[in-house]
Amino acid sequence: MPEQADARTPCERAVFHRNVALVEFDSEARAQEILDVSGLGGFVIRRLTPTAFLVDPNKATVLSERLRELGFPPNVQGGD
Amino acid sequence: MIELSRREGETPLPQGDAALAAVPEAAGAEPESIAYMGAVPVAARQMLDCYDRISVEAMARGRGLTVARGVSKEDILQRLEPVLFSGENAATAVASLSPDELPVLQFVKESGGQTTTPAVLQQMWARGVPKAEGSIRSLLKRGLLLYPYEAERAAGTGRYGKLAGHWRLWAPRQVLDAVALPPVELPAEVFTKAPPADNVLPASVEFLADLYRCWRYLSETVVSPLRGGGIGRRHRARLAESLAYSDRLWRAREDEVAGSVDFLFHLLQDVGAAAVEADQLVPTPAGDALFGQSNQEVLQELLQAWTESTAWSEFRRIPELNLVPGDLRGNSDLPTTDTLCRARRFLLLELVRAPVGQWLSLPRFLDFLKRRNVEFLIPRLRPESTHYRGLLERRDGGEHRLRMPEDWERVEGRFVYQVFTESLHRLGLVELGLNRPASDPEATCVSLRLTETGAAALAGRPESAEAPPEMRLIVQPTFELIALNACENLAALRELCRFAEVDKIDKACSLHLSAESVRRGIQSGLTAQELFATLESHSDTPLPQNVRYCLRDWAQSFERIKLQPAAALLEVERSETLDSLVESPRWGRLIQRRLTPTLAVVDADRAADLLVLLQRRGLVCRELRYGRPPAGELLLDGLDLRVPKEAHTPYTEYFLAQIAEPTGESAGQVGYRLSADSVRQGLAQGLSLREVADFLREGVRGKVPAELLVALKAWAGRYRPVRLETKVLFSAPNAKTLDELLKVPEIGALIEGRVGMTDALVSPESLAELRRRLGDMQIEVEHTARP
Repeated sequence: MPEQADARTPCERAVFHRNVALVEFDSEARAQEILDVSGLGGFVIRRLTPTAFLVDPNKATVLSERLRELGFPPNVQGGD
Repeated sequence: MIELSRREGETPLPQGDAALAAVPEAAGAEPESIAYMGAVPVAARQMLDCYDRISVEAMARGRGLTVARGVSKEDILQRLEPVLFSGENAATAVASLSPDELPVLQFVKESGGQTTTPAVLQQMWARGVPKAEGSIRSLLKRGLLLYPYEAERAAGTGRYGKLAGHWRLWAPRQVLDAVALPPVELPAEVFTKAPPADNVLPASVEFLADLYRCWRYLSETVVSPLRGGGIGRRHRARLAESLAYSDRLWRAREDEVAGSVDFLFHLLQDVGAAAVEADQLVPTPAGDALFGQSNQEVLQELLQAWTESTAWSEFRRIPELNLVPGDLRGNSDLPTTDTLCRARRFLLLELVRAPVGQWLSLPRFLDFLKRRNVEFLIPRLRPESTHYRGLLERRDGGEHRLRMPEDWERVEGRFVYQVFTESLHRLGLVELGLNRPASDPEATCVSLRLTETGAAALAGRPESAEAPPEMRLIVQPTFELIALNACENLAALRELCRFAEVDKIDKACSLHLSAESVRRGIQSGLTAQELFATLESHSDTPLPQNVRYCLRDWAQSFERIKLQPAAALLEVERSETLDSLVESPRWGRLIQRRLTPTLAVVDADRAADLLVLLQRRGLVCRELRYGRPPAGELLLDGLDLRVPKEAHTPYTEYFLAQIAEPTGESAGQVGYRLSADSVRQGLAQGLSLREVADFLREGVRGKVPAELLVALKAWAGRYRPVRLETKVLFSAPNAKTLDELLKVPEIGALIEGRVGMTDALVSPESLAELRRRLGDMQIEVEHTARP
């Protein structure tokens, strides 16, 4: 049972974030440019890394359309 | 008298078997005068040598010789050979052949004296000669046919030397000379819809291209299926026009065109390439997989799906038959879906025996089928000479009952006609021969022939050893693509369609590239490298430079931002935990990529499994779902909201922060307060009033007070301004009084509006005038005005 043998930490906590929209930018500058300047930052729930953001899943479609209007068509990938 | 005597040196036979006389079986016949017709052919000698004794004895008996027990094979052969190779004897034997046997020898003669057993069986089937296998055995037993054992030995049957082991067949020259070939019947002229030409696609390829077009049509258009599985008239007409059916179909009547389009959509559903979802016919991922195969594989799957189709019925499409309720007890001979599937399988099993490319007479074929299995479609459960139940034939302006034995051709035969001329012809498995030019409305199908594609599909083998011609691509600087041989390679065309817009699917398909089409391709999982590789692998020349640059720019632009609308993330406290998961051969696949040492994107479909695993490892796991508030966890008191700390998820915090102002924590609860400004701010950030109301409704799990909903609506500016004015109430004692007073012009002009049966409103400015008028009319006025 290798799964039980390694890294067992009784008090460690794990959080599963389910059904969340994830947006990733190719650079921090572009993230700043788009989220701050365009006002799409209002959809951000949490900044995970300088280029990755948790976004309101209910606003994923709106976000995608706005990005396309701004000239940054996103690569929309499948979810669950 | 012919005597088969022992050779010198042979062991004497026991007593009682001394009478080794071989006599003709016909009693009293004169002894045969045997004349040798020259030397026995070397080939024949070799064949006879390999026969076992029993077989040789059987042959001798078959040719009228009586063989006593114990005579050696060589002795029998010594006497048999002159018989076998005697022209006169052969003529006598041939003259006594049965009507089923003679055609076998005629075919062997047509084949130059030698052929194979399968070829004989196939030809006899095609000519409607039954019991061909029995005939071959009978001819072998009489030595009118011989077979070389080498072929059998090579085939590994292990039965060589025995009459039953035949595969290759050979007839002596003397036998062939005695066989007269039937006079050659000149077939009536056979017309086909379009003679094969270089610029016409084979029928099966054209059909697959049509099917692919229809499948794509489903992804581009909203199509609601009809109850029977077909599609509406508008879609049918549009597709029939784009498929140019009026030019291509043999019979382009409206019902034929509709049937052809419906057939395509039924087949798409039967093969699983399309399915009904939410009352719409939509393409399925299985369809994508289907068209990713070679044409031959697609055709075989379609053939299988058609055979098992329960929704499509050729029987219901017979125009001459009127299907009515059965007899008084409700019994009907209408074939069930299972029967139809069985009947289709039966027809295919018979068709697979047809020689490729040879015209078969349809009436003769029907006759053969009838003799083969008269009940293949409708079982004869009752005595003969009864009527078909539930079927009437439209004829001579009336409807007629059909009788079981006599009208087989009008019912079962008509079904066969329908299967061949519609389904199998559309699939490109058979070619039809007409009695008149196709343009003649009176033309009917009189013959058919199995195509090479059909034979291959039925046998489940590749059509030919050669691969189909490769798709060639011409990429124009205008972003237009011309794909040659694309229909023969639907898999390659489908790959191209992932990132190119289709303009026309034909022998030469035309497509074009656009930013949108490239975006679609990349979203479907293609990378820019794969996109270039696909274009270059099919193109003889390098891509035009402008196309290359643009494609690269488009592809890169879609890689700038990635959006995963429904992702699942796993966040742990220690990076070692994630390390161990990534390294696990079983669970590592579920970690798609790490964003930070303690945060990773995981397979959303398997997140639940991962959760169980981590719980087993002793981790305290928490699941946070986004997009919805914690149901029933919000406490609402007027405009104040309180959320228990354990229910205060990031999504709740994000949402409430947009519509309310935080008021701090107390007693394990986080507080917020709604206000006009905070709600307006949330709405300005893109929330809708409905989203806010739904959030609160689900959060408190119950009714949100009406005054709060009104307040929210008011804060959102959804109410138009209300008007407040001072008016005087004019109240009459009853409705009749008010009606009569309003008819008086001077009084009616002073009344602003009626608000009930007895009440009306008057402006304060008109009050003195109204009082004066009423006084003039001697109507008393009661004052109820309050200060």
